[in-house]
Amino acid sequence: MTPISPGQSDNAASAGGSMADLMKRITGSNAFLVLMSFAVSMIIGLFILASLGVEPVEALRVMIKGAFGSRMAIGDTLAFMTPRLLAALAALIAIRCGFYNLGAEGQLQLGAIGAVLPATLLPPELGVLLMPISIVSGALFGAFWGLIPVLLKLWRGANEIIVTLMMNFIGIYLVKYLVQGPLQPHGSDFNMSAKIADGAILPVLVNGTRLHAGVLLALVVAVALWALLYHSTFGIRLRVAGLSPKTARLQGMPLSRLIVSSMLISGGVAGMAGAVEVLGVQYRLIDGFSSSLGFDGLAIALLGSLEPLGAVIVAIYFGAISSGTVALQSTLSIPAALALIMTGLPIIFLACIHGYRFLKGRPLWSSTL
Amino acid sequence: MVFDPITISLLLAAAIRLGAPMLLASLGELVSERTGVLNIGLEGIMLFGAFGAVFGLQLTGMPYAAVAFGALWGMLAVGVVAIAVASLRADQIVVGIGFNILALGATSLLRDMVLSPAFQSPSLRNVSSYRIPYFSELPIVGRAVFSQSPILYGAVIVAILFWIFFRHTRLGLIFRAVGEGASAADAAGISVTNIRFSAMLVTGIMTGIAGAYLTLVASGGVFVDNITGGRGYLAVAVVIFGRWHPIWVMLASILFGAADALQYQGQAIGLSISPPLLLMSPFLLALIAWVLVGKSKTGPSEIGIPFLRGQK
Repeated sequence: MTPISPGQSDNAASAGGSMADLMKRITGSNAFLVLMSFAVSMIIGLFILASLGVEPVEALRVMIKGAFGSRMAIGDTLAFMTPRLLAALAALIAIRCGFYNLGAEGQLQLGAIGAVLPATLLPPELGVLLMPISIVSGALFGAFWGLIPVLLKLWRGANEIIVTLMMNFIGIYLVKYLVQGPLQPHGSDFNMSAKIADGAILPVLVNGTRLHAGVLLALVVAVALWALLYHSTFGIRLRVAGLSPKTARLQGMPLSRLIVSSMLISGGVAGMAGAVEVLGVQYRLIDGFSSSLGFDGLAIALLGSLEPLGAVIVAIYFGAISSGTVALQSTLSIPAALALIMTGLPIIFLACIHGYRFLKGRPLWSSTL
Repeated sequence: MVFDPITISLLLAAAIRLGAPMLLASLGELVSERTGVLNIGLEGIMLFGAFGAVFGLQLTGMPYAAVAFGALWGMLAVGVVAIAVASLRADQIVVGIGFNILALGATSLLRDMVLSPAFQSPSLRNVSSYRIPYFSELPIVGRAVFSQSPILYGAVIVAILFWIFFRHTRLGLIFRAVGEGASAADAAGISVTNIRFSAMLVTGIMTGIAGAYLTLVASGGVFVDNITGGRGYLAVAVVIFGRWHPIWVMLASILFGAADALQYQGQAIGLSISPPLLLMSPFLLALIAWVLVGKSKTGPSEIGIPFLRGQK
């Protein structure tokens, strides 16, 4: 799949023009298509709620209140957003280089392991130094996990889609194994590690909310990746390699090295997502801590047109959906599975719209499998 | 480790029993991939099939009707993916990922809404096994191989039929042609869309039955959230491991089934490995398979590429 930036609309050349032209440009823009997919999914979601016997307007009110209604709600929304945004940034930097990294889920599992090890095993006297050490360690573990599929691809021609998917499950079961065995405190029956040292904990930003300093890290990474993509030689090369590997090769770009570097960044950022979730929310390594954050991230990256800014906007929406469905569950006892439906539907719609445009000769996404 | 005939027989039986859903799903996926569609959505389709089967069991009380329900739900699920992928030319990976997330949510919601509690907790209803006369009396392999669910025997027959279909029939050749060179097939007057759509329908039916098998035979007629647990993704890997050949896919499925079976039978043969590591083993096996199979792949050359007339 080769993404194209949203500004690059097919009608961009015909600047000015009549009202009809303007309408055409708006409806042809990526942002409009994304909005449409969300709107249609939202309508379907409200229909599902209606079939569950809930007044849709009431449900919508509860959701919006649960997502943005109070300081605590906004804090929750942003706390839900944080790991998802990092996972999304991880996915997009790899895909922009033409490497289909579907392995953010596994990489963030490794990131969580990498963060918990120093945070529980190093002497607590290190104090707040433990926090950066744990985050870096998490990023390194994630990068290591991301490196394996690239090496398998370059060395054995392995299909990265399948390999990264397999490695997700290996990562998930590795966490399961660690919390039932080596990392489980003596005498404990719970499938979780010991609590991390106080110094490693990401501080809460606003008292009374769950919003932790990880959100700042996520936003910094978003800006850094934007700068890297659009304001560095490496970024240009990376995008060329993603759009047309052939051009990159003809230009004498080191294609293998580009893919390896982009995957190291990707795995590292995904690892940070896991680390942040452990250090800011869970304070332990817990079996099943992720609840498919990695796949959410992938969805966000795709819906955000593989742009860092797009990812930030869509990630806020996903955070709101998460905290909104929590509110729905607690006040109207609506199953939280609704959030999954609201995640999956817009991706399918958007992919269909892009596919249809491709069919009509206006390629926006096309596969480079 | 203990190796006596009974435990080996039990292990083999479990390997085949747990390999069967993988076999059914990967045979289905094989047909799609031969025509150039990489169906990552297999996981979600299997989930819908699994739910459909248990729902069917609740409605009718008849195991075979439940299997038919599973097949039907699999077909409906794949219909959604096929409209997106084959008709609208949506990106196959993106749709697959979205569909799997959707399926996880939808089946969980449906379970909550329509399944009675009896079908959400273990029970004994399932599709009974059929002992093939004479063969099932053989030592060791008798009980293991010739005393399984009839669905499994059906799958083996389908594998052989697929092998004949792709190797010796004109339509099989057309299917392969679409996967190897869609433009050339189109120029020869073949409708790429129709071929891919029908291939995906076959995939849906097979994968739906795989989901039915998973719930009705392997877990006693119960549906729990995410019951497939990555088996759909594994089935995609099995197809590649089996090099797009039905017979190899069959053997690979049993190998993956054996890795799956170790978590239940491992204790019996004195294997003291932690359960999560055993659960991990099929995925690890898939990864190792890549190192072994490597670049010598003989897969369809246009796999994953949407077809557009007049574009090369």
